[in-house]
Amino acid sequence: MWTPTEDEKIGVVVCSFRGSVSLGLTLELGETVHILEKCEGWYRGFSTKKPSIKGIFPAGYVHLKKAVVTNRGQYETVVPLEDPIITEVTSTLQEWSVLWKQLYVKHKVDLFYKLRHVMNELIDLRRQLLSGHLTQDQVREVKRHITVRLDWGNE
Amino acid sequence: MRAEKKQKGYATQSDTLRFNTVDSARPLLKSEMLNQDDPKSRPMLELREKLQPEVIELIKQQRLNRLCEGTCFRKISARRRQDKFWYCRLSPNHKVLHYGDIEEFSQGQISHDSLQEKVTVADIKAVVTGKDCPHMREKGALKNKELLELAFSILHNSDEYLNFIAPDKHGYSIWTDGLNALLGKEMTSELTKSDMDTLVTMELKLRLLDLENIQIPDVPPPVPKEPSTYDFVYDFSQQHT
Repeated sequence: MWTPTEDEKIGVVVCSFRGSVSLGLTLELGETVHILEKCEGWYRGFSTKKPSIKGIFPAGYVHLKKAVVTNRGQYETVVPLEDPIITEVTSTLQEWSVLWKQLYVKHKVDLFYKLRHVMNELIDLRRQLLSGHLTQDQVREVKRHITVRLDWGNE
Repeated sequence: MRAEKKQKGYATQSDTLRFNTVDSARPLLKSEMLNQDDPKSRPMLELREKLQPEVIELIKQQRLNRLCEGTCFRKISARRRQDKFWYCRLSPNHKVLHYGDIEEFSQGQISHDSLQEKVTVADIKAVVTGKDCPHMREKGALKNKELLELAFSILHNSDEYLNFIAPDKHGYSIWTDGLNALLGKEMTSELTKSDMDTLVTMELKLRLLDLENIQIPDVPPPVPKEPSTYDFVYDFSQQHT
C-alpha cells in the first residue's frame, strides 16, 4: 500500500524515465522531483518543473537529497538542505540562461560571450563549493568570487 | 558485494526493494558508473540529442533576425574600377526580400522604403552556391577561390537569379543558413554547427547542475513491477492549478 515518505522527499533524476506505466511520470535526466508517497519500489510525486502533474516513477531512477520539510502532509513545502549560496547560484544561472539565449537570438555578440564566460565561472565555483574539498579559507574565497559575479550579472 | 553476482543491470525485485532506502541508491557496478562529464556516455548523448531541436529553433530565429536587419553587399565586376553596393533585407513578416542599389557602403540598416526591388519568398525555388552560381559561371567573370566561397544565388520564378557576394565567410553562413531556413531546409553551415555546440553545451551543463557529484548509471536501472495498488494517500483531483 502507498505510504507517505518520511525522509525521502527530494530526488534528482539519474536516468530519464519514459513514464511507460499507468499514471507514470515522464522524467528527464537532471530534473528535480518532490516525493509524496511510496509503494513497492515506486515513488509518487511531481517534477519541480511541472508541479501540478503528479505521477509515479521507480525509486531507482532518482538520487535522494536531504531536505527540510514544513507543514507535512498533502500541502507540505520541501526545500533542499544546502548552502543558501548554492541555491542562489543555481537559480541565478537558470534565470541568466533565458537572458543568454535572448542575447544570442538578438545577436548581441559581446554580451553573449561575456555572459557565457561568467556563467562558466559560476558553474565552476559552485562545483568547487560542492566538492567538499575546500578549507574554510578557500570556501570564503570562492564565495567572494561568486558574489562578485552575481553582482556583475545583476547589472 | 551482492551486486557482483548478478547479470549486469538486472536485479530481482526483492533486491530493488532492499536497496531503495534513504541511505543508498542501488549500489552500482563499476562498469555501470561513469564520469558525469564523459560526453560520449549514452545518457549524455541522448540528452544532447533531445536538446538539439530547441536549439535549432533558436539558431533559425537568429539567422532570420539577421536577414531582417539586412546586409550591404558588393557588386563585383572586372569591368568596373570601383565596386558598387546594394542592400538586401528580409521583411519583418519573412515574406519578402527587399533590395536595391545604394550610393555608398552602409554600416547601418537601410529601411525597406528606400529599396526599390523585391523578391517574394514564396517564389524562391532554390539557393545555389559557389561554382553553381550564374555570376561565377559567366565568361569573364572574376573567379578566384575566395569569391567562390562567398558567392550564392537565389533562383526565383523558375528562371531568374539574384546573385550575391557575401562580405565575408560569416555573412555567407548567415545568409545561406537564413535562406535555407526560409525554404524549410536544413542549415548546414559550419557556423550553425559551432553555434549548436555552444548553445547545447551550456544547456547540458545547466541541466546537470543538480547531479554534481552524483553517479549517473550508464544503462537504465531496472523498472520494478507495476504497484499492486493505485490507491494513493493524497487526492489531488480537486485541484485546479
